[in-house]
Amino acid sequence: MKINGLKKLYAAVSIIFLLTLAISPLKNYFKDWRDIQNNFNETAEQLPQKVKPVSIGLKQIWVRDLDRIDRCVTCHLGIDNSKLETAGQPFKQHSKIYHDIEKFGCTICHEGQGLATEYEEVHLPTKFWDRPLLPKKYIQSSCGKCHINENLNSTHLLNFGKELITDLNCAGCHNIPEAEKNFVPALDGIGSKIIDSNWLVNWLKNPVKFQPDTKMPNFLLTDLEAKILTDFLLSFKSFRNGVTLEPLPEVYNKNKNKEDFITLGQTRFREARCISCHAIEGKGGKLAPDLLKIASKTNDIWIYNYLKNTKRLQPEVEMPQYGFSDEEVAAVTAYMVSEFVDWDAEEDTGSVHIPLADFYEKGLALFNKYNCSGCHQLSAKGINQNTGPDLTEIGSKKIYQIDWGKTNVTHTVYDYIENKVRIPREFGGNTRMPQYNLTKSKVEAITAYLLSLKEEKLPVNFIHKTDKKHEISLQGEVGRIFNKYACLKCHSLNNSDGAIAPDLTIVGSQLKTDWLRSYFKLPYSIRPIVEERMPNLFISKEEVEILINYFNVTLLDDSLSIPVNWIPDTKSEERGSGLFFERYGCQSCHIIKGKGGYVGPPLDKAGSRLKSGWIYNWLMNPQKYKPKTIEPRTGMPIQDALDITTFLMSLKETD
Amino acid sequence: MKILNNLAKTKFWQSVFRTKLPLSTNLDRSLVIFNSLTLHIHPVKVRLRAIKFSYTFYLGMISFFLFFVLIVTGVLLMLYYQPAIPHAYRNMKDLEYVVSNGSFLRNMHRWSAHLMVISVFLHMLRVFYKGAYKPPREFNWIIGIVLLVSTLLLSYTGYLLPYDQLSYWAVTVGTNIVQYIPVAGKEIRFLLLGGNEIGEYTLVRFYVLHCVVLPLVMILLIAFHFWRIRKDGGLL
Repeated sequence: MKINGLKKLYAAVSIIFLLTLAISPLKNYFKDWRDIQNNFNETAEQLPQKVKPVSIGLKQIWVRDLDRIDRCVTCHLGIDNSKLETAGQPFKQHSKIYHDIEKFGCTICHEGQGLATEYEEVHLPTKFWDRPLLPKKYIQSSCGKCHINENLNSTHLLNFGKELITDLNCAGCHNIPEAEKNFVPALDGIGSKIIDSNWLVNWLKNPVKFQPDTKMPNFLLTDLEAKILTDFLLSFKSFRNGVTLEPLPEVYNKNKNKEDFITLGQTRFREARCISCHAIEGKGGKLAPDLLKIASKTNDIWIYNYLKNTKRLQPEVEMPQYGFSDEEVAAVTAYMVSEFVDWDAEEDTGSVHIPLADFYEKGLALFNKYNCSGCHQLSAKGINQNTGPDLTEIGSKKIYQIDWGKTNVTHTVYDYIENKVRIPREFGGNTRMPQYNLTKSKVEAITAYLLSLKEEKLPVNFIHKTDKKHEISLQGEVGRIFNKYACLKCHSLNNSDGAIAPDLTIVGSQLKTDWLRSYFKLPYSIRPIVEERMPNLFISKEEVEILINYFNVTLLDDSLSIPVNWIPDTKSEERGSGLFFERYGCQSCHIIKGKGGYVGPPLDKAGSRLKSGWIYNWLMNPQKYKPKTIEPRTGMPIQDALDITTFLMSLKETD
Repeated sequence: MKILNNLAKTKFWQSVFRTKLPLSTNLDRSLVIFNSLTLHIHPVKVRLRAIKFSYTFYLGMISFFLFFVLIVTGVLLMLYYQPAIPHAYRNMKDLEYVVSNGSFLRNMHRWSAHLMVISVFLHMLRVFYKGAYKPPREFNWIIGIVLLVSTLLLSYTGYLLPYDQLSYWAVTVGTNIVQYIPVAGKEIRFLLLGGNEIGEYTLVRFYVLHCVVLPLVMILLIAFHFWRIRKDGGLL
């Protein structure tokens, strides 16, 4: 049979086709992971410690509950092998881990494409998987998916991010779950507060220039916009609820330039420890605004009225109202006006400011455009909520939904959020989001928190949610006093908010009445290494008695009892002293008789300060009352605790 | 030979093959052809020039061959595929990364589908320019058109099955177009989607269309198409 051209072609095509068919199984065989596993077995042989070789084949973790299949363990072969702690990637042991790998898998925390078995596909952003491996710095965001509001010790970045979200009042414009709105001064009456309209123009244009620690962002307003908004705002001269400013007292007008009057103000200013909360040129507390240039912004009559009764002008403000007399308030005002002046401010040119035509309508439009009402209250007609995007599921934002503008940012969600927070208007479009003055670490913290806000629904038994600390509202006279002096800003009570000062829930069972009375007169720092101390709030005697009465009646722990066989005699005292100094070595943390460690509070005058029942119960189980205290639970016998209590109770104030 | 002859006399043989062996007359020989489906597909008379490559470019047969490849690879793919969210996309990933020769299988299916659309179109053009739609072939032309539409529909329904962004939006656009059909547009869209938006039911519906309904229609019509070619006087 003659083989003609067509048949030859047919034969050739057939052979080529067969060869093509062979490519697929070959490709299958020469996959990277097979090399890596062979490589692992070779290295495992050479290691001094005995590492079992693995069988060649795909490996995966199937987490049924989370509906995930992660094939990372195909190459990461030493994840749970402590012998491979120092090995190189991909064989290294996983660093300290909080979860069982078999129960959680990999991608639930790390993200990336767990199904894939090729390096690029697993780790990097690719066309068909837009959730690449999270960078190490953002890994904590995954903790926040399940641990909601938990503030874990190991997730500092996430906790910080959450704190910043509240601090910067992001919830003013965005819907963010679990984020609370922060206090921001209301703008009613601002026209009666601000000295100079130029100040407000400059402030609106760049708040940081006047006050570096301000939380107000820069809205990048044009000169004209700033002027219109200034005119608009300064037209609000009356305060909310019909409150009017009281005139400055005679004594102020008479003495405001006299040195001893100012000195009195300065003394009260120091005694009240205003700098516990307010910084002055960056030195001092961070809770309230820096006062360095306050007198260039605010007029004296407003300062006077505010100091006299803070909550009258700003009902939600956290600043306590000090128990000053009118004269003292006037003196402090005089001191502040003379001292806290912006010496660099431009001289007032004296020209009369002429408001622009139809400033009110334009100003209102601007006020609404930038959603000023998201933070500041203002009682005016026509104010709308004009919020920004909902951030409830921002961490799952789809890549195709993002407008990248002209940027060169890598197309991942974390890069997007990071850049958006850093320079909000970088992506162009009609974004109104203002520019915040954030350091790199702050940007990363916020990004980490926002990334934790995911769309995915995790099984309920994986979620660990700590409920929000609830607000306590105390009734009656006590409530009024607590509110007036903002006690719960620093102190906590029945799980309420304050985290700066000791918990007051059972203070009545802890502290002695006489000591409390003298402490209110002149608060001091119990622990020598702690700088913060309670400010002198000048609480009146009657109020102190009401408070102490309330402590002794209500803020008690009835379970704090001391065994009836407690006989505080000298024998017990001597034995307690021995136990204190030798057996339990308490002095290594507590100062007593002028000697001892700085970790715990000094116990020099413990007998005058603390109640015996409290000391005894604390000694038996400190963690019961303060779960995070470092005081060890020694498990001492009851008699030892009783004797130490006797000893401590004998340490009274000598004078 | 004797065993074969004996075998041919068994009842079983005779129930399967109608022609009586041994073949002795011309009638017997022609009956073999008439009674066999596969042999019967060809017309009684085939013109020599009709077998030439340049006469038909084999486009119809190429389309049929691709359809055959699609059925074989499609059945294999069905073994690895669940029409459910989110498994559908994950199954694609499994085919790509874990199933032996999975990506080969998937690519075969995909490329065959593309090529089939192309070859069916070319086939139609060829038939059109040859004037093969003219009587007596006008009905077969109509069947051909239905086959073309079925091919496109198969292609379109298969597009959703990986359930990625591309397919999601393709189906969104497609079903929105359907909505503009006068009178019944909204209802057809509702039927296709199994609801008012793309979801689990859409996936199941498209899956059933792609794997059951449309292939069955195709097979029946192809058979009819071939039979009509023969009845209408062979290839033209």
